[in-house]
Amino acid sequence: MMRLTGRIQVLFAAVMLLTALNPGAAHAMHISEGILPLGWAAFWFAVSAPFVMASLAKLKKESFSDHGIKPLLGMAGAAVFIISCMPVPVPTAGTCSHPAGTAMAAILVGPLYSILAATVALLLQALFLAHGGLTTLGANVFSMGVVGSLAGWGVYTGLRKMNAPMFAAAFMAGVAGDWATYAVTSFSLASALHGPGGFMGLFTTILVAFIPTQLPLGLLEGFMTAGAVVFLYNRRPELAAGFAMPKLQREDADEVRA
Amino acid sequence: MKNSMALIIAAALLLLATASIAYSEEEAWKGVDETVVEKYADEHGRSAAGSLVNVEGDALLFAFLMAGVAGGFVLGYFYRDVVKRKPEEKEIKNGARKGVHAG
Repeated sequence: MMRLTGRIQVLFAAVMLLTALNPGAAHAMHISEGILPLGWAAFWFAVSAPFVMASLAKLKKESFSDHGIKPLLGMAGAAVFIISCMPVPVPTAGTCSHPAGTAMAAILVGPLYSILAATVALLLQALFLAHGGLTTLGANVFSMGVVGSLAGWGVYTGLRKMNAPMFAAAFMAGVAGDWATYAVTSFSLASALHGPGGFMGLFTTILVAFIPTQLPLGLLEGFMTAGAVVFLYNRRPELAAGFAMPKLQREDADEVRA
Repeated sequence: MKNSMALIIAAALLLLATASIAYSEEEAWKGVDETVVEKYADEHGRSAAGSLVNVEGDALLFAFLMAGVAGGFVLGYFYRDVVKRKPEEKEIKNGARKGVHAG
């Protein structure tokens, strides 16, 4: 077990180092500036806004009472920022794409804070890295921030309640967060761009076009999420077990001590 | 076990089938924003516009490198706060018995 933990730590450190030093160009999955017509851009802003407002309200309420949240939130935010602008070459498809990191953040700090982290990351990327766009920010926040976080968090908490091992639950959460993000990106594009050919036809076409890249990348994100969660959990079980699950948190802490 | 194997084989077949449809030499190592998002947007009459702060060429590489370094620094800074582990009682006792400081 100690040897496995050591390997996970080395793997996690290597991924983080490569991520931090990665100088790749802007090959991404975010919807680029100008792709969505103005009406659809406004629609996705309206859909995302309540989630962002709720996360800001939660931050304002809890930052005064829980000082422990700040470093974990800062770390999760930085991780989402660098993970979501890291182009990963996928040999089976011959293309590049990137993980989202929001499932991992949602497990560590809860889905609302993860949405906030994704919003800040996407805004910075749109402003300074030609990665995504300001008009498409609402759609990108919804797919990566809202859906990625909620899918990852939902799968993780659901599996943990069914007594799944932490590594497996976090792995599945990472996979679900990644694949759900790309499914919703396909939905956003198809709903805005479909012509006489119909919505379902374009939605299916875009979704299938994502599969060669995102199928393996989702699995990679699963391993990355599981590695990060187990690693942090072994270090600080009271934090990494998830703020939303105090009961599980105690059980997990006992499990680690045993 | 059989179910897992079947799932892995099905996933591999799906991956190979879709990859053979989507792969093209000209598009090697491009991002899915170009090969998927912008491709289908172009086909439906929408094209990507320049970003507000238009960073091009090697300046974009520089911007990404700086973003990675800054993000890595922030991550490391908060990681230290999150992970600095307090020594457990047992470790302190063992350390004291051996005459070393735990922590």
